[in-house]
Amino acid sequence: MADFDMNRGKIMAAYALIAGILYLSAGIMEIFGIISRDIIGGIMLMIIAATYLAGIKDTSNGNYKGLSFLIGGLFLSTVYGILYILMMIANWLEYLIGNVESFSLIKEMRIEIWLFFTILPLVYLVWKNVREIKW
Amino acid sequence: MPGEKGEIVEIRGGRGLVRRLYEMGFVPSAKVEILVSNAAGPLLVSINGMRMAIGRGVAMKIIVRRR
Amino acid sequence: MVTVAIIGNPNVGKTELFNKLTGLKQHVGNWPGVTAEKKEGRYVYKGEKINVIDLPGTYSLTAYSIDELIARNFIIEGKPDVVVDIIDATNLERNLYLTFLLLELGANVVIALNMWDVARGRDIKIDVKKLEKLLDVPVVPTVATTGEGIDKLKEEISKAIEKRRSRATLRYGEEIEDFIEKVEEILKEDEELIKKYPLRWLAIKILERDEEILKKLEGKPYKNKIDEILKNAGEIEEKIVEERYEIISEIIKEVVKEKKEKWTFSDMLDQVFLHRILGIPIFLALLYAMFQFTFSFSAPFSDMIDMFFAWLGEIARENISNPMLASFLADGICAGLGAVLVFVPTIFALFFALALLEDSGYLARAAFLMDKIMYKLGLHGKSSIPMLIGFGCNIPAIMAARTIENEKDRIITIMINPLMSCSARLPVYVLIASIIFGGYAAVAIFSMYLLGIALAIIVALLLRKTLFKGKPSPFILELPRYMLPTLRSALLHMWERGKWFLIKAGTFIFTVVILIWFLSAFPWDATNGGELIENSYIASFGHAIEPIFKPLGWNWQAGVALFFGFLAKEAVVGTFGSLLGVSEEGVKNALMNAGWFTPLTGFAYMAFVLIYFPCVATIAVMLREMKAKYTLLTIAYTITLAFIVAGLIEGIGYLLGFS
Repeated sequence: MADFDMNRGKIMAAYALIAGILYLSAGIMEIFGIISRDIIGGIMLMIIAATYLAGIKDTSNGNYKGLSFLIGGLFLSTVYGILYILMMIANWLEYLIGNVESFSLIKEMRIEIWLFFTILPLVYLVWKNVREIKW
Repeated sequence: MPGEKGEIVEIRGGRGLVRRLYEMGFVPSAKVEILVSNAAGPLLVSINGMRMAIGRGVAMKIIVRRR
Repeated sequence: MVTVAIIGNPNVGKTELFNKLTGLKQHVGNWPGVTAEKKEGRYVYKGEKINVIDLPGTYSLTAYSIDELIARNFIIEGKPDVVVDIIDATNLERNLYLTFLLLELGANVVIALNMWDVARGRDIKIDVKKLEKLLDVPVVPTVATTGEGIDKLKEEISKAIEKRRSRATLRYGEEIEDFIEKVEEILKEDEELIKKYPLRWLAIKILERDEEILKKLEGKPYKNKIDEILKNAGEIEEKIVEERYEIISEIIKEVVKEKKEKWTFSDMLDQVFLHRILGIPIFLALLYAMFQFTFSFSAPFSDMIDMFFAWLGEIARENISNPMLASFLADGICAGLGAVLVFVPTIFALFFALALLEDSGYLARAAFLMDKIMYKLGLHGKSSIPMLIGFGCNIPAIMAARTIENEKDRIITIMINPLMSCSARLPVYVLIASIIFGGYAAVAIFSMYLLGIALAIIVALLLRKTLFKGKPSPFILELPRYMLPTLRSALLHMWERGKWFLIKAGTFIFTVVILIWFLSAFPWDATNGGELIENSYIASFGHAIEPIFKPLGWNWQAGVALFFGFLAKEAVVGTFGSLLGVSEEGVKNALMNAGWFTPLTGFAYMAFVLIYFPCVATIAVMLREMKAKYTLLTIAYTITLAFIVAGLIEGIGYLLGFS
């Protein structure tokens, strides 16, 4: 476990904290139906939140161990972000072929997609710190 | 515990198991490091540069001297 | 014919190298052991035709596993001109064990020091010339993924074919060498054996108490002398392995200079993915994403295919004058093709997602996470993968069970696989559930999946207690480096697994639909071209088997559908369609109006479809993978269980007041 610059670590940790809170809230909202009622989806969002939050302490101390969790969280965010983008496309296709009456871009943009865009900058930040690690 | 390093001293098991482990490099004097160890379930160790997952029952048969 | 064999540890890039040498496209996977079958290829170098055989990836050459025996016997009996040993440069110590054994076997070895780029990236410096000198074999650094070093490799191979280097042997310590000599003394006389095997190798194998070799000594006059020596030697086989590693260690010291190991990316990821608390939730999250992708993203494409064939059928119906031919083309061919191809997007989406997980290396971690639970169920951690795949299609799932080394574990895994609700059953659930349960259809369908899993657990435990006593084999699994999957290899994998479905299931489903068309439309006059179903062959047949299903409250049509579901589960809905006289699109409404099922009988029907014996294609694969008696047992238990469970559901429901 090598260290990296703790200042950078604190910035990333703060970002992760925000991400964690956002995902957690989104998860709760999805479970209770405030947005797109989807119990299982909501649980998944909370899992992602947990992953981010798990890495805060170590990241702010400059440990790679913390970054591991961030990377895990970013990975999951990406997977779900892309997943829902694909589902949006699928629904659009259904609309095109006439199986569904309407398609509204706004309704289709699930929170997972927004959250995915939100964490993209963190991907860049983490990437900068991780570059020298061997695959 | 994760992060612990050690050297294998011996393996106490049935012939088949010992043989298999040997072939995979779990021999006396081999250096082992524990990477992941949860409360129950398999362990992940690093040995000879390889990442090997071994069941707990198996792990308990491998005697290691700590360094 | 010049033959070259390729061998190496799992996960060293052997298959990639094979491809680069022969130009064939092959299966590349991180999951060790998938490439279990021998592959052959060919290349030409300076005018000479060279045959290449890809031997199974193994860590050693004992008699303990089939893969190793295959590899070993090929080298002994097939007598390849050259054996290319592929070594992972980042893991020299471990890989050299196999090299050692190959040299002992007397093979003409050429070493391909693969993953040279990764070693470079990790600042691992290997003195190639020194290694060549110490082992006395040619060593060629290669990067199989880019093709770097392949030309030099071909050159060295051809050089080695011409003239092999001297057969230097690596010597053990005095004690072992003594014993080797003693055994060699006795074996010297046995002409038969010496002709086939190298003398020294035989001696060493005997001291290692190698099962296969010891078997060959049965009945030999000198056997008791050998037994004497073995008794005196004690636990010598362990010493032999130890000394091998010591020798290798010495070689490594002289040849490898690496920087102190820091954390690798894979280590970091494993901290998260194998975390004691987060590990399994993350696994579930990925699983959920995979299934969402599979079913939701493929839906529009499935619909498009469905609509296309329905449209095609209409055109046929309108434009062809001969009613019989029109019906054949529309209701037979188009409906048949449609029924099969409608599933293609779903199946391929599933396998694509699976390929991504496999290629990235995550799947091994999944086995790791699942092992704890699997063990309690009497299964091996590796069993979780086939069970997962089973949710898509049982056929590739059963084939994936090949990676499980222990026979008992493997057979149990295969036998419970049919209870994993494959995607073919989904249309039936959706159809019936949406009719009788309306808004709660999703719950009903989900409960089917849960039921399947629950039953699988029970059956697994039962099998473990009765037929396959004992514990699952010890869990020892190498977790490969995480790698970014390439689109190309993922698509390749997807095609490899998916094509099984297309071929086997496709032909069956198509045949069944045509068959149903025929049976429901004939005798032609009696049914007036398929309209009066009651007069057709299928009706006669249905009434004949009606008594079997009457107690469960299902009419003859439902019974017939089940029968055809035996051939291919997708056919159940198709049969409904034919019997109701509508295309697949209209089945839902027609079924609703026909009122064949009540909530209770419908639910029991769904359970029956879940459990009763696997489709013919699956059975065919089972016969290939395990002994006939187990396949028969599977058929027997599934059909029995199906009746029991359906009966129980109705019984309990009746008592609770449903009808």
